[in-house]
Amino acid sequence: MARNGSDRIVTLDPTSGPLDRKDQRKFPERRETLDGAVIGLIANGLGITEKLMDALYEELEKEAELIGAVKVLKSSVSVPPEPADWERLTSEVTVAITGFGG
Amino acid sequence: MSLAQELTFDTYDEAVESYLDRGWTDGLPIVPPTPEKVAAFLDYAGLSADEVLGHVPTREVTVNAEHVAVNAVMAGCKVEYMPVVAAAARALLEEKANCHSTTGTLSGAAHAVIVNGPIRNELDINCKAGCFGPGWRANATIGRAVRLVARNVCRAIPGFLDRATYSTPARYSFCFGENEEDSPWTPLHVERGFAPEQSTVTLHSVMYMTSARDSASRDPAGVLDSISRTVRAMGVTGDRWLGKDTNVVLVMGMEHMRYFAEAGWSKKQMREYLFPKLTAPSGKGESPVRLGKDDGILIVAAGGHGMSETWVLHPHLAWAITKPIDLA
Repeated sequence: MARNGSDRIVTLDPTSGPLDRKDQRKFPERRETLDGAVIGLIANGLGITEKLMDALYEELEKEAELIGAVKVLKSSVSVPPEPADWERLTSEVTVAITGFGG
Repeated sequence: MSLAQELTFDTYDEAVESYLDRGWTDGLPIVPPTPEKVAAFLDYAGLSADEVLGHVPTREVTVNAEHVAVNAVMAGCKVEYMPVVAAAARALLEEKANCHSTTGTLSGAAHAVIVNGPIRNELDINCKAGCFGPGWRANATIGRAVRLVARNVCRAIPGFLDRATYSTPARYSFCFGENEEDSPWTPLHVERGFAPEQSTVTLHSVMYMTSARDSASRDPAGVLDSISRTVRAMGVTGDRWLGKDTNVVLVMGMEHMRYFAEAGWSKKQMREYLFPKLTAPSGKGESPVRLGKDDGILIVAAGGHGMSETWVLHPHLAWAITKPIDLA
């Protein structure tokens, strides 16, 4: 048993670091309205998530004057969108909607 | 010199309680990971503390050998188990092992650590009766170590990045070996391209475990038909990203295995028989079996006498990865 000079036990932290690591990324400000927005719809590829996102967009259209949608269907819950899809999402979209689970 | 932060305690019990309180265990007491023990584990495996074993990019985590050694000590491993744990960690961190999804999923998938080669006997890894359960230090602590790495290093902490609805007892530990000595077949690792004398670990994600119990059939086709019905009841998951890289593990016990030995059926013949049956369109009460190729059916000889059954380890979204166990 490892002990230091005062006969105390020394052990090692088993983690890859604290869970509350400081993240420089910030959330964008919440929009007052979706009028004039382009909606990003990111389906995670499970079940009928694509249909769910389409239905969600139809509901949002009833609430606001949307300009359009950018739809992304991921190949798996396990991977992020393809780089080209990221580019479209970050350059064209005002608000993006996604989900998780399976 | 350790990379990890050092902690100091007045007593052994205080250290154990502190690790429990900090959420650094699976709920069971641990062996305090002293720098000397961790260094011995690294030395035995011929690893430097900072050797990178892999990454979980979505979690911005890099796993080094010291992380794995610390958690192996905590799990109660002997120093001789460290090469096995390191190989399993490397497997977990392969891209298609899909660490992020398999440890975060609502389904609470576990990981089976399947050991092949001479090291099974050297470490007394149970391959026979009771091999899924308690009683063997190597099985219990190697499986536990892998799970502690997932929890502590890869951040698969219940309620945080582990989102399991129920989780599973198999997440405490799930490690067994293939019973190569009593098997009539080519061992799993040899089928996957390794020499018989090379010890390996195969890591397989397990979303469900079901038993294909059949004490009536007396021939290979009858047994395989029962297995097919069991697999098709729960299905095999997959998606576009995995493509054809999906698999299912069939752990066949002694009572079923002898019919194949008597009839001279190889694992290859079994796969050729099973693949079209498994992948036929699903009917009422069945789930799709999304196997892309017949070598996605992994057959492992293990278990004891008595019960005529084969256990089906249905996967989560991952491809089973086999890694060599490197002995220093």
